[in-house]
Amino acid sequence: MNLYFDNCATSFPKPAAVAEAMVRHLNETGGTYGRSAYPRILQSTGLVEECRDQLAAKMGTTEAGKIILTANATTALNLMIQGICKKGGHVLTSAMEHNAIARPLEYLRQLGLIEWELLESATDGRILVDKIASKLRSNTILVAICHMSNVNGMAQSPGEIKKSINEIPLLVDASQSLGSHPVMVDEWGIDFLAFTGHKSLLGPTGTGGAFIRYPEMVEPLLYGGTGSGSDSLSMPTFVPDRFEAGTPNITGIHGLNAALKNRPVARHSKDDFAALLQEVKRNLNFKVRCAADFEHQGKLFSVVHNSLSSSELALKFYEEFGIESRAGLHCAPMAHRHLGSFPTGDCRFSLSPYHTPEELNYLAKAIHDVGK
Amino acid sequence: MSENRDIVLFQNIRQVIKAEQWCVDNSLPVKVIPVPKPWSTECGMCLETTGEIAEKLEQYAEENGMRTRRMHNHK
Repeated sequence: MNLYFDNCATSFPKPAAVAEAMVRHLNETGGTYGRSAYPRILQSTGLVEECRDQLAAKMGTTEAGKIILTANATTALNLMIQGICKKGGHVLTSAMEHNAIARPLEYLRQLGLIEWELLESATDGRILVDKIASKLRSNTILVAICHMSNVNGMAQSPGEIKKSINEIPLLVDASQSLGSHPVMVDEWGIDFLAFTGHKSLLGPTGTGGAFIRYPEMVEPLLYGGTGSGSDSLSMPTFVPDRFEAGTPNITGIHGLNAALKNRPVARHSKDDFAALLQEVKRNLNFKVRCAADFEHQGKLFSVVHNSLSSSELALKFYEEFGIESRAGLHCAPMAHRHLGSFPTGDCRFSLSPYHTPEELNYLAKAIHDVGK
Repeated sequence: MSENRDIVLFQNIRQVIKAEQWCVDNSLPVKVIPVPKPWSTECGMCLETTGEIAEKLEQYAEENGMRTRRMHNHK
């Protein structure tokens, strides 16, 4: 039985093809990215570009060349936030942000470069789109939001948000959503997107990236060799090279490519998940942190017990039921402040497409028993 | 495939890979080679082919927003 319910931290298991592709690169094929022109490099490089194309299809853009491969979503967010924000700028963000967005913004504020403030939100953290206009200023240079909260699984509507901010750039952190929830970069008008490879995309850790629609708006975060324009001491102006200094995580990217090409069919249905949430909500000893509307619910939720702490809960779930969950603030203190669970946090359960209805029933029963 | 061939240089690795794949898909023989010495400031690989195919490659590149340079490769 698969009792790993911590897929928001990192997904497990992965498709078997992921490890196979990585071992193949390490033990059989080898080869770096570009730099020369013998067949080993062509093969290795071709798979990296195939991965970029697969990612473009997954996130709904025709501009695969504007996808930058990085070590993780945090690197991508730092690249974009630090690369876009200029002195005197004003940034709007949401109450549900992970520290991957909040800390770079706060760092820039402490340097005296920018001001940032929160958009108004409903009790589950959904941004009140009709209130956005009142927050916009003449110096608002960016709206930066997570697509899906890593605390309660609530998904924002980036397309509606973009319509309300017009030409102001929208940056979306899709770390929790890309792979498990629709993401349509071009259709929604998303200008900048960050993603990770090791969560819902089922790839290995050390993979992730950014979609940068307007490369000219972003200063590089890293400077170094790209295998292009090598006669110049300045970084190239074209993408992806402009933001990809240094040898990429080729082995990991081959693994991510394999994950994208071998995604499993979900073993449980949306209705199975809805039934699990309904069952959990029936327990009066728990407050359940989830989206107010199931239409905007991702495959994760959290619970707060009326007497047990989040760490006591997680330990109990593991020791008595073998269930692996996550306790605490999940690196999202602002979200917990908004939801009323700061500083104690909550206990989070996050699903995988490999979970069966029987495993969801087991989780529901465990939560019921712990809540007695 | 080495005498009096045309060389098509691209801005970056991704464009070389995409162009080479396009040639394979369209049964157009090209060879991926290291960028020859006089033009070695771009990426580490480029495409070597006939003048006729080089023209088609340039057209493909233009249609797909790629910047190329074409040289005659005298060996």
